[in-house]
Amino acid sequence: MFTWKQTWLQGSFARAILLTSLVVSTVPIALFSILSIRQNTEVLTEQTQTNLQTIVEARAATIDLKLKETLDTTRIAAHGVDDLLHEERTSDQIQEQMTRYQPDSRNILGLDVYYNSHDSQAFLGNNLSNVYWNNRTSMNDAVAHEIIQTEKMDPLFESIKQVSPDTQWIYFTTPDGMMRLYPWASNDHYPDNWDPRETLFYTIAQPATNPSLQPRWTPPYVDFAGAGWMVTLSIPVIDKESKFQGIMSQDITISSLKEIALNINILDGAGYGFLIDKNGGVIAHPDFQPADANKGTQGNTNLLHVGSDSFRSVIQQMVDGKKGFGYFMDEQQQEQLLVYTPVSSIGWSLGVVVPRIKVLDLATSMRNRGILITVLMIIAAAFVSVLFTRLIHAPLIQLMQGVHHLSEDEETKEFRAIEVKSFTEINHLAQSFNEMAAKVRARETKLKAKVSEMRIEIDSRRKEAQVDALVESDYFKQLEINAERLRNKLKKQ
Amino acid sequence: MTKVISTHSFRGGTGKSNITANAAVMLAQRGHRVGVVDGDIQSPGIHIIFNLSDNTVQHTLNDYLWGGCKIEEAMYEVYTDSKSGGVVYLVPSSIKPNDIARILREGYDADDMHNAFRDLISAQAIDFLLIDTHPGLNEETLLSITISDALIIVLRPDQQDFQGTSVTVEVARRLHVPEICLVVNKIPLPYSLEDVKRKVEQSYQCQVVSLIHLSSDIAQNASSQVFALQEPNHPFSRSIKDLVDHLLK
Repeated sequence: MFTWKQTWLQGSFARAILLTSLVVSTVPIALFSILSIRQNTEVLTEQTQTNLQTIVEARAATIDLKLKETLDTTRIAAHGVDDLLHEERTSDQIQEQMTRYQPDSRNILGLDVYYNSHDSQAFLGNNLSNVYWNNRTSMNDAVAHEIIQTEKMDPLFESIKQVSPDTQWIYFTTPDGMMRLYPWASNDHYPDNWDPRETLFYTIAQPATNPSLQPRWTPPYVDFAGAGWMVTLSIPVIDKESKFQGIMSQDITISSLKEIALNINILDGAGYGFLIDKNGGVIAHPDFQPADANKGTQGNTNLLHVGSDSFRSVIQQMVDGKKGFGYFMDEQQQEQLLVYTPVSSIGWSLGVVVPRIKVLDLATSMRNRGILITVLMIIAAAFVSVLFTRLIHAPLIQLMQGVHHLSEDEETKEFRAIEVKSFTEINHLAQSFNEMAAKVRARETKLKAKVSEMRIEIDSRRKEAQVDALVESDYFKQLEINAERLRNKLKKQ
Repeated sequence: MTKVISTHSFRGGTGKSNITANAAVMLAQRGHRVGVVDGDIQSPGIHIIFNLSDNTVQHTLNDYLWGGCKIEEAMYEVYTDSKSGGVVYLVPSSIKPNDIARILREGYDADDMHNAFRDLISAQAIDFLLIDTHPGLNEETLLSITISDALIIVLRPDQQDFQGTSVTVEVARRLHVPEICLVVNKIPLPYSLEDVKRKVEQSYQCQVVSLIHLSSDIAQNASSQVFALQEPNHPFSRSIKDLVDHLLK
């Protein structure tokens, strides 16, 4: 039997309310959370991959944009030089102009001597161009024409240099071996018997090795003039008659591109980015491209030839121009996630490597956070349930105490009205109870007064008179005489 | 040896017949052979409590008193306890208006009533003979009281009953009834049973063997059945048990 002294939690009604409230509030949260948490590890891993993919694609798009600018400006220069080479000039005009181009001590024809003799020495990088022509080969009109006409490219070269901060050098090389370079660099920088036509920027783009006549990019190398790592874009210049006019090249520093690739901050520095060309050669990679490499050093590391099989397998996917992700084991036998996407305009590929454990850690961390939030929500729901239950049940306890108090047979105790602060209906119930209790207590008091007055009052005279009337009769006297006999008579049966 | 017990009240409506019927059944439940005689010939009624229908009743106490039948023919087995083997036989009085009018008009020989008791005891080897008497103190009632080994006086806690009971107690004493005990019935709920017992015993110098609170359950039962059989744990039933325990001492 429930007594008012029991705590509120022992009341079945309170338990029922609490249980119902708890079930209604916490079970959906728990179920929802359990379902979410169960999926979370996989979902979050996929989500992380997707996020990485998005980051990589955005970075690749930025690189792509920069390279397209280089491509566009080089094409403009190629068109410009094509037009100039087809301009007719008289022999006299050419000869007059050519007086400034003189061979130096190594018999390299250029503007070095001219500028030195006119006391206006050009310096490295100023907005003039220079010509490199190995004078061992005899000069002819065609070469002179090329030299004089390409001189007119200087304003265009200057414009390109101004709009493209990454552009270090822009230069045109003819099949005759003439090269015009902008901005100024003294021919002293070139080694003896240097032939630009034998240099990579020329050989990769010339029709003999590039029959499709597509723009070509060199692997990265360290600039001889100290501009750091750079790459060269070379475009074959073909005139309207499909005649090969030369190679227009532009050297761009790749520090900004490398920065885009290498400075990808993923999972608090746990991952890194890298950029490779369409052959797998490293354009930018934190492990294969020392910042302090000597001038002229060429980055010839090819990722298809390093690392584990699983690594090379993923690199092959990159070389094939695909987009996606893969896992590989690094040298420390740690599993790594590699997310990659192509830099579409030039066939490079940008990749991001993140330790798989970090991805799982992130998923686990998010799952734990989910669990924590769930637990907090359940605690909050339970707290609200308890408050709700108490709000309903506490007044009932008060009412029960009131009933108990009312039922106590203690006249001296004055009934105290119950004060309840709860829902309106319960407040009304308490009020009604107080009214009823007051009436009951009044009636009880009245009855108790009556009980205390109960007396047995026997009128002795009347009683004696009634008894006398009976006992005086003959019948009674007979009975009185025979009483014992009559009783015994029955006993004898 | 047969114990003859009369149940009496100075006024009607005290619950005398109800208490007699329930006590009879409880005695039978303890293995006794019990005879109940409806001595209230002028206003009979105990047969209703035993569910004895008019169709079943062929002969009554009236027929016996008028010499119309033997007591065995006016005797009905109204309760049998299969466990203990106890049984209750009832000798009802006629409820026919003509029979009642005839009794009132002609009366009957009190000795014949005495013989009826004797024959019943003899016929069924009765252990306890309970006589449900007519209220008041007429000759038949005085006879019943006289021949009883014990007299149970049922009263309510009101002034008329208190006064009437005092007369009955005095008369019973004059008749040297070996044992006189009191049952106070229909005690209002606010009354303390202990207080009532103390005051009544003090007033009559008689033992109060049972105190019964006024009960709406009993009122609703309307004497239609033996209440203790239906509600053995009811306070009323426990009070009847107190009475039976006393009778068996």
